[in-house]
Amino acid sequence: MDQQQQQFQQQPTAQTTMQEAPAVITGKDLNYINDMMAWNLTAAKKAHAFAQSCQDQDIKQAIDQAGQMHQRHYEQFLQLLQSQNQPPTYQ
Amino acid sequence: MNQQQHVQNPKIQIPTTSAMTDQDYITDMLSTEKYITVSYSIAEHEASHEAYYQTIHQANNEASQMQRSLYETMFRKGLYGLTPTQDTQIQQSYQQHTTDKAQLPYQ
Repeated sequence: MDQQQQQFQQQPTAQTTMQEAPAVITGKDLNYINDMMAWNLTAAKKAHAFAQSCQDQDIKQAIDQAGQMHQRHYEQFLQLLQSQNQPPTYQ
Repeated sequence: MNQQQHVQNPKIQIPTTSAMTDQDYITDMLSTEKYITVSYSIAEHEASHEAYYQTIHQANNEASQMQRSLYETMFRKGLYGLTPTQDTQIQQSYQQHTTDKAQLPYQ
């Protein structure tokens, strides 16, 4: 991890000028990812609980779909953290 | 569609109670989607690299669609009504902005 961080602190020479930001997760990114996962976890749990109490089937279904979406998004953000195990790729 | 006429489907039965109703549940979810999409918009502008940005951006689009879809459901169930404004007001606005068009800088 320390080694990886040092890589990016090297001054890029003319030959290694990066054309786009490398796939690193910054501290700021991680703060946001943590937040976004928290929103989605709460939203998924809330939707699930709400849907179980709904009388109207259409409303129940609409709320369940929202809950499933939030669960999917939670999993997507989780995967962002998991893929950090691979070294970043350059174009 | 000339005069102000309220447009609304027949409202489904919602009990008057201090307990949470279907209307409360779906309204709360609607607010949740609104809040989350605004938050995603801020987050995506702070994203460091492309793949990460795309992940947030897509989640944002989907949540935004979900918000619309919840609203449509509410409208169908008669939980939302629309009151069209008067034609004269629309025409007035049209006139004003047509005049202002002369100020637009590009030919």
